[in-house]
Amino acid sequence: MNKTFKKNTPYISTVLLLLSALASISAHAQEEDNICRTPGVALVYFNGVNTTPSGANRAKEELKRIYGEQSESGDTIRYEILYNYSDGFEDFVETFEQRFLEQEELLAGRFELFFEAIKGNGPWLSTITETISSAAGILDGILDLSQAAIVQRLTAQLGNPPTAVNYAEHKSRIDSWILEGYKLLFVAHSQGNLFANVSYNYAKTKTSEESIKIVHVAPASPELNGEHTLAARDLVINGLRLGGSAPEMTNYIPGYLFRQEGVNGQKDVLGHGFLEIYINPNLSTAARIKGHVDSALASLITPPAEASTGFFTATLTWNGPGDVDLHVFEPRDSHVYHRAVSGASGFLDINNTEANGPEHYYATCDANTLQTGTYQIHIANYDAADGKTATVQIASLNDGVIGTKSVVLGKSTGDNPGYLIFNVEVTKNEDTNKFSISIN
Amino acid sequence: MKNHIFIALFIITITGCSESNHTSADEKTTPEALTVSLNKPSAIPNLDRSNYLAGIDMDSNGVRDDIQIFIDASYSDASQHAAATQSAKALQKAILVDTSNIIAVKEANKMISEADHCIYSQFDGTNNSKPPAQVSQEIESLMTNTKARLLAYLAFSKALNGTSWTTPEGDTCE
Repeated sequence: MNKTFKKNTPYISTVLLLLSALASISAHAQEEDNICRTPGVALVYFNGVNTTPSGANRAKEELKRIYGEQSESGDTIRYEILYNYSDGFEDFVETFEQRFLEQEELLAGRFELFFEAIKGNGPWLSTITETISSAAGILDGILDLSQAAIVQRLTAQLGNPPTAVNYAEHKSRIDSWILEGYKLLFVAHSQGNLFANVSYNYAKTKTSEESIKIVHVAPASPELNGEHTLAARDLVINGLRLGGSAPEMTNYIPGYLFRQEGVNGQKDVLGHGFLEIYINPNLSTAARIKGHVDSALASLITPPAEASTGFFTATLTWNGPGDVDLHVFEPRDSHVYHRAVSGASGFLDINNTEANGPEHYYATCDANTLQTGTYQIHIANYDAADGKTATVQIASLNDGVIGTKSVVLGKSTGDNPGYLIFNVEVTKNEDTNKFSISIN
Repeated sequence: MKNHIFIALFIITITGCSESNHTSADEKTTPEALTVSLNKPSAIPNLDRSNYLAGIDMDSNGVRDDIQIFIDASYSDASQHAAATQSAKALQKAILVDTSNIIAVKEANKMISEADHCIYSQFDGTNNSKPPAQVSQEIESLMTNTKARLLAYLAFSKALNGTSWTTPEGDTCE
């Protein structure tokens, strides 16, 4: 054997080189054909109080700038938002109008100052207070009211915390991540901690605690499930502390006059902002949070994947015993369900016949196989799930959750799917070869 | 003790300076001059304050004309100009969306997410350019410059309560 090998070495080397080149071309082609990424870490941001969707994006993009697309251990990191809106945010618009815009005639109607005013600082407000000294006094009043309103709202929420039932889309998203084998790292700021705790406690019932970590930032809740960071001059959490309990302070930050601006070029008088205070590289809070996130990224254990990632996925869950079925009619008439789990474009890789779900369909990541057109997503109460609420979530790798819809089920209909939940449109841009998805 | 006295004196000096600046500015600034000053792009842009939610968009490019003027004056770099314009367009969609239609709300939110992602790819905060967060925040504030627009945007935000989305991958600039 050795002899033969030696004798033919030049030819074998040539053949091996050719094979290696072919393998490399084939691998590259497969890589190009694969329009998905392998699961790694889902770094999930839970936004703080009075945050708009674009504000949540800014926080998420800043986290991406800090932690990049890959962890030191080689996991890809996806940045996700589980969004919550602060009740009463819109009520403060009236207060702002009455106290600021109506009292200072020159500023009447200038609502573009609203977002700066609720933080007490910003380039436009600086210009105004430099030229109209009376505006500074009114602004201080607005800020006091803003602080009081935030503390009152957070206190009310502490007494009546969110539940997983209120946040079906969050819950269903967590189900999908766990099914597909993602490690989960929750980063929660302010009010987001109330929601993150609910999500963390829910996720623990689905996967190992070693696969979920939570990093608390300015927690508006005494309940901690991981390391936390709280600035000593955070006036919002200090306000909460006066009315009850709050976690211990961890970091000294300089007073307002001596603080440097945050990553958005602004300061926050209340000492509570995620961008202005907590991830401000000039303050010690940023290094502490980075230590917590790095440590969590290094220690998370990959959970076993029960389902595959797809170009898009449909996940069905329901609340209780019974057998609910997911039926997908693919663009060229393949009917994928528990009796025919393979379609032309996708697969039903999880089928549950007892209780709660999940059932999971994924459309292939292979660009050569993925069909464009309409995928009809139906469900059926196969047996004994009368009156149960069934939830279907459609998510894509590039856009996250596209849609979540729940229905209350009527009488069982066996294999006859009685509920059309979504029409999912998959299209391909022939110029860029990129696939995209929408629902109607 | 010496340190405390020094710090106290320093704070008094800072406060004193700040107050004297206000006084000096008030003495020099007439309401007319202030209005002119506030309407400079470098101060606060001169914006459309009509009751019309959509504002005026004469060229029908999806961006209010007053916002377009601000973007034209603020960003000379073509890629940055395009990113700011994309953000304004996306926010306009959000302000005008039917908030009872969650699919339309999510579609508008996807546009905002892509626009913010684009801003972060075109602004890095170096060479004295604005940090990307400031660019995004500024356009958001300008787009919500009337009570009706601000309330419409907050209603859009409220409609997204309890939802989830992800960071788009790749180049999302239009």
